[in-house]
Amino acid sequence: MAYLEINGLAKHYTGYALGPVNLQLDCGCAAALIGANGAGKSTLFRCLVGSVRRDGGTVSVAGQQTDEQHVLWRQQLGYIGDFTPFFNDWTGHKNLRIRSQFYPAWQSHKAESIAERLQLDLNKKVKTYSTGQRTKLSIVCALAHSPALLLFDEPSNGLDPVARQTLLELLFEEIEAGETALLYATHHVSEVEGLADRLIFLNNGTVTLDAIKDDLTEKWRHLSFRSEQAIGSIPYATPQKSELPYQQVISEDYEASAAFLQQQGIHDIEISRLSAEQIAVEILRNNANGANHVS
Amino acid sequence: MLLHISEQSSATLQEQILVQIRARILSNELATDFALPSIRGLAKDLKVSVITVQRAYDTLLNEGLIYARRGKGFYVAALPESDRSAVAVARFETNLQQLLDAARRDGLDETQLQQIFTRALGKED
Repeated sequence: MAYLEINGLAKHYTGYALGPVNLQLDCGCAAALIGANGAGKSTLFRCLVGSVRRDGGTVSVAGQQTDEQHVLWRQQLGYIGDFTPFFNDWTGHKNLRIRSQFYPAWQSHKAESIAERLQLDLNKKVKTYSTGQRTKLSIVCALAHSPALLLFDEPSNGLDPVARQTLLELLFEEIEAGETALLYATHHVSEVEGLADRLIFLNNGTVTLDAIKDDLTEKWRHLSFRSEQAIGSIPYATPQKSELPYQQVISEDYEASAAFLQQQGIHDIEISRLSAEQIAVEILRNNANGANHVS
Repeated sequence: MLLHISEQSSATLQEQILVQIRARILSNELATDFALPSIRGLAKDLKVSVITVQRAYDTLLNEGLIYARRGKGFYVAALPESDRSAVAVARFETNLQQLLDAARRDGLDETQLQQIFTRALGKED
């Protein structure tokens, strides 16, 4: 069952347009949303959670339409974005207690155990919290009711490395339980490499690529070979900085690129895998170059 | 369970996972009823997609090397000793055939092949 279904979502500002975005996340799916600054990731999240009104399209969460007449779907949502409202003069505990009133599925013991694992002191007033500690409290709020959909927009901003690792473990446990779908926007692909099955690339407001991670890691490879002459325009390949006679390229279809090189009489080709992070950088770079060509 | 994903291997991720788990089952390194890591757990450790591990496990299921307990996960199946060696022999023959084909393409003749094989087994006379 689709836990998130987006059809034709669009948002227009002057000089900027998001969409139409179509996306579907099934139960148990963890997807990373990747895009350059200004690609529209946060706008997409805001349109999804309703903090920004969308100009068109429909969104359903765990089978429920999300529009202004309906509010129950919010109980199926765990969101971390730019801002989670808290009462600054109240302690973390009291803030959680208030919030729990709105979520019938809220589990207090789960909330406390998450806070403990994140080493967050709930007895302190929220106004004394650092940015990272506020984020930790947001994480507790996003997970305590075990929602069907987790929308995390760069949740690790401001978190120390230990807390970041704990966050990933917490998310892993949610996904492993199999009743959740996760969309996780990040600039650090390596961070979610062990968590995300799918990589979704957003560029200039549109989804330019939506792929199973391993379909990318199987096809993209780094090729290095020796040739006295520079070999130009290898299909599917982008040349890397190299000095003759040693040449290196990154290919998005290494079999095709290697076959081409073999036709040129080059047989000793060293082929190695790329991490999802390296592939993402290449795709983003190609996106940026593509945009330059157009303008 | 420690598996190794090679940076250089031309084998797909799915094949690499499959071959390594299969070898460990057939060599008895993973005993009967040993609990395999959860699909998502292994995917996380190896940084591969869930679907890749799922496909590898599906193949092992079809081969009868593992079994599933609903809601619990996957376990190494009990194989009679004879089955174990029969599967191993079949697998070795397949692998050997590929090597032989490649060697013949490279121009090695039967005598050379036999010498290499005897030497590899450490029984050169």
